[in-house]
Amino acid sequence: MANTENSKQPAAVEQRLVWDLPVRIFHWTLVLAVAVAYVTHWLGISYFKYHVWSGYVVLVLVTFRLLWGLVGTRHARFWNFVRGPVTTLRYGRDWLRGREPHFAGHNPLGAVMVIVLLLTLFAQALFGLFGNDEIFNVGPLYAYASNELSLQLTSLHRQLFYWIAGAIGLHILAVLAHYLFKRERLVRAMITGRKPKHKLSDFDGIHSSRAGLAAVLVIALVTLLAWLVNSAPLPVADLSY
Amino acid sequence: MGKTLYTGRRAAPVFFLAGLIATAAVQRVYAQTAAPAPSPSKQAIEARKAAFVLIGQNFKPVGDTLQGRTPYDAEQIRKRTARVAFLAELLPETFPDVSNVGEPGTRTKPEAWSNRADFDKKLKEFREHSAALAQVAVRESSTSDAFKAAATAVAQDCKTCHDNYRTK
Repeated sequence: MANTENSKQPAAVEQRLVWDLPVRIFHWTLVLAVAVAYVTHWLGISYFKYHVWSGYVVLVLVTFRLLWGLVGTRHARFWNFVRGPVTTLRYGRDWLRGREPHFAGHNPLGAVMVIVLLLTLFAQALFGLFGNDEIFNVGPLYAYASNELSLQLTSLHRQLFYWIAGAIGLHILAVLAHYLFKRERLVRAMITGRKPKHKLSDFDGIHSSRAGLAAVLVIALVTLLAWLVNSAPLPVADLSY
Repeated sequence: MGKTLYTGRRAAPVFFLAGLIATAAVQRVYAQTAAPAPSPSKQAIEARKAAFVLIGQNFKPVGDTLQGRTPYDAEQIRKRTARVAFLAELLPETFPDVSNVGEPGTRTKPEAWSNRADFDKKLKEFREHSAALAQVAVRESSTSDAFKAAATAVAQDCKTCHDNYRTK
């Protein structure tokens, strides 16, 4: 808090934009959607509708982020931060010895967490679309899967939750470790998008958020999902038995 | 009888042979008629699975109406809810202690036996809510608040028990 308390020198620490606006909105909306998904499952069967809605939000957000990893700004692009196993292991070794290099965006270990979280959340939301609670709630695309497949996917949906919860816990611990051991305020950076200039090299800052492109992508994804869900047949019980 | 063939020591092998044939015949007949009884655990597991299959099939149309996928059909709802209430009464006997340990054919978690008091309480709530729903269905003729509340209570019983006592 030392920097903010010393209000006479607000410009003492010059900041540069690292995380574009779409990445930041994506991150915090995803936090909210995952929290809502968990709480609505826990609250009970009559909140299922909101559980489905939060699943839609997760699906759109994660799909958007996967695309943004291809066409987004510098630190959002996968090939600017995802590294091979050798580099990643070397970074982990250097980190254990306390002399890891600094990265403006995601470091190689953080990149692994980004990929794990994106893929598991994508799978989780996807499985949910075909799910079936064997009582009366069904996922919106249940009619496209056989009952056996639906039950298998539901079972995976239940088990994958624990892996996701573990990954989220690890993610939060890592952010906490960055603050405690290196005094890096990663949460604030993910809110403001900015990091102290002296920790970055000259070409690390970004100049635009490309928010217009992001908006177009999100609208397209929402439209696609809405069409998929609305064109799926309603599953209705067979009254023969 | 004079020199009868089947007397004395010379008859012994014949009786022995006859005895063997008789024993084999009896065994054969016995094997055909009395197959070994299935174990009590297997019987209990089959019984509860059968009950749950029927409960599921009969509650589905109630759920469809509750969630607005099908219009309220009073006759169907009465029939289905009465069946669920009846089937729920079968459940308490289908979880004997022997149907737990080392049984591969069941998704019931061991906690159903280790938390027996809570498990029994959940089964009891399911029976009571199913009976209440059947009674509501007798007098209702639309997706009323009373029907919604009663049907949701039953569905929540299903979910709570699945969440706690069934493998994921």
